Amino acid sequence: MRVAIIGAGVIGLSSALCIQEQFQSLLPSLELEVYADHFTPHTTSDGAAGLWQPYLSDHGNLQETLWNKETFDYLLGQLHSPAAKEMGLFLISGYNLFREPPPDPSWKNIVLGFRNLTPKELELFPGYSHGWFNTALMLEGRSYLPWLTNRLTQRGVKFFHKKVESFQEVSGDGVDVVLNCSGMRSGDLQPDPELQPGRGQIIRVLAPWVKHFIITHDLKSGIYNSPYVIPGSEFTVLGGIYQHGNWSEENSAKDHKSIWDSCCQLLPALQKAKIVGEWSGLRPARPSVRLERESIRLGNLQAEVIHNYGHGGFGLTIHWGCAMAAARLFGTILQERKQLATPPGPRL
Amino acid sequence: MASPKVAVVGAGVIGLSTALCITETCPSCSVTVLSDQFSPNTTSDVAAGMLIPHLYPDTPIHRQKQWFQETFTYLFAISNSAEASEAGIHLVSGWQIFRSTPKEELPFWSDIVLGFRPMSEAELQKFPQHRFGQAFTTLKCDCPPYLLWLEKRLKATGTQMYARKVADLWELHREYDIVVNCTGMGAHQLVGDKQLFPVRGQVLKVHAPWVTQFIRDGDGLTYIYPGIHRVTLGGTREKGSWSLSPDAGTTRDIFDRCCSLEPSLQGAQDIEVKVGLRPSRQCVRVQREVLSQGGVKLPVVHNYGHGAGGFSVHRGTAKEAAHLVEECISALQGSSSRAKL
Repeated sequence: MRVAIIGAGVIGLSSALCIQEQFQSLLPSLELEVYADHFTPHTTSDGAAGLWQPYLSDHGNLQETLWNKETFDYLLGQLHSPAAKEMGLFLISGYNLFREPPPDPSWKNIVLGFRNLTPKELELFPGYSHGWFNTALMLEGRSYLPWLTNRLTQRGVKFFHKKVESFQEVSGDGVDVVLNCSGMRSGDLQPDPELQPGRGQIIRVLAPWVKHFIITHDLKSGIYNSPYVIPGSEFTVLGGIYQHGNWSEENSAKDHKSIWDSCCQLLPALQKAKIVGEWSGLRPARPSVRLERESIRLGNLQAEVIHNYGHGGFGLTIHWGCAMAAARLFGTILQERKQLATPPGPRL
Repeated sequence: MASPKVAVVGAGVIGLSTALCITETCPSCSVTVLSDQFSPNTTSDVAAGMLIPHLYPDTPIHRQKQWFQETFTYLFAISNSAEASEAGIHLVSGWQIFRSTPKEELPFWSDIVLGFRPMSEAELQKFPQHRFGQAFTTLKCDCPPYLLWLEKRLKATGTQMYARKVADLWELHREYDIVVNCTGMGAHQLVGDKQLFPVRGQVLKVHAPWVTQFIRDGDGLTYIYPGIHRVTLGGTREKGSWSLSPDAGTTRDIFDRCCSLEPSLQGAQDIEVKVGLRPSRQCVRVQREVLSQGGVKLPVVHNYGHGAGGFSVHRGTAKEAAHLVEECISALQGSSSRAKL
């Protein structure tokens, strides 16, 4: 049985790994193939800072909150393993800041040590009247994606550097299941008006004295449109841009100035930080994640497509929960095709 | 006395911060720093510089608390300013963990550091051998940056600094009106203080930039303190040991203990081993006296014996010492108006 995964960002690679881990031993004929036009370090997942943090509100989408929690718990469990450093996984604490009292987030009991800021802490951030402190995780795409790629390669998964133009292109020729993990470009494979770019821009600086993430919020202008500072293992990310509907992947001087000025106002010492890079990326934004099956008819053949895209600015945050869900859908397909007598055992 | 000449002996965190406080409280003073060592070769350069106070058995708690409060407030303001990175001052969050619940669950400084609270069950799961913990955010002074920043501030006030070994305070009585003794462990020899004893500490400074949280075992022996460029792993508390040579067995032991608290440290690179002698005393000596020899008087202000807590109380003791210098000046002016010169 051949399975084609379109997309090699965090979603594509983790979905492939989940399916491989759960079904390879049960189905020796299973062959997984990853198709993508961009691989690490050129994917959207590589550009993201890598902070595990969902949006402030899940808009009642409990399923997504559960997937976020599954991802956090899974990563926390990996923290003490020898692989953690190679995965780009580590603990980090920090601040979320508000100019007005915010409602509690859906993730307050998922992260560690969630609490409100004390008045003395708020003195650090003039202009902000409320805030949270918590300990969360960093999962750096630039390390995690190569780690996933190595695991997949070791297990015989094949990689193809190719821009896939249609499901038909990969699903003929004996491929029974296609995983659509194409993120921002899913619309090229199948029109989806709900999928829109949430353009972001970031500046990378050297500021090794910053040991906390700081995310500010302007509840009126929406998520990530307010300055944020996220320290990583090699550099610190400055950001605060979210432009819905903007497809440009070019760095904008205006956005650069906006990020730089607002972040330096937040942390005056950043004025001394050395700029080492700049990047723009498109968050694959959707009102909710599309994670579902679809049967595609190609002449007299039927292929199953599992869609797993539209993770906006929380792809790394939600990836493992979604990968497990995609694997469950795959298991159902196998059952229906009598490839498996019973569903697989406990989830890995 | 138009321009009192003050010599500060010692250029670690105590000497430099005391000299700076003197220039602040007594702008007319001419201050000179004399030391056989400057950064990066002082005891302060070995220390991690974490603001977590050490408890002095014979100093009243309220005085220790005031010293810590003053130091924390001073550094908090710097950490919040554009100078933070140059001064090497930054906030760091983390955990102090205990194998068994300590008698004092709330240390005297718990309301001075930020966000102090007991660790949650979920957080304690990371440390299966520890049953209780405290989470808080505090400040760290990275050396050499902090000492170099103090030196720069001093130079801006016109303070001179000379590399010079002072073997006897009386060497200085002709050139200086007042001597301030911030010699740390050197006071054992310099003023013959037998109550001062070394507590040897060996540490590793490693490259592990993914470690952003501090972890400290409440026994004070094992700790992981992330600095700007390096993480300090410790340590030892060897009372009475004067050896400044790194010990290979100790290095291995420190590394193992720290890795058991933070397994990712196995991947740490560029391990540098350092040794410092904490200048320890039952109470910090912040005191003035007038030495007398053959009819000549020499006012001396002592500020030494901070042991494991130098950084935590440095600014508070420096200010106190600067006030004592003022008292010396008043006393000199009082007696000079009476005596014929």
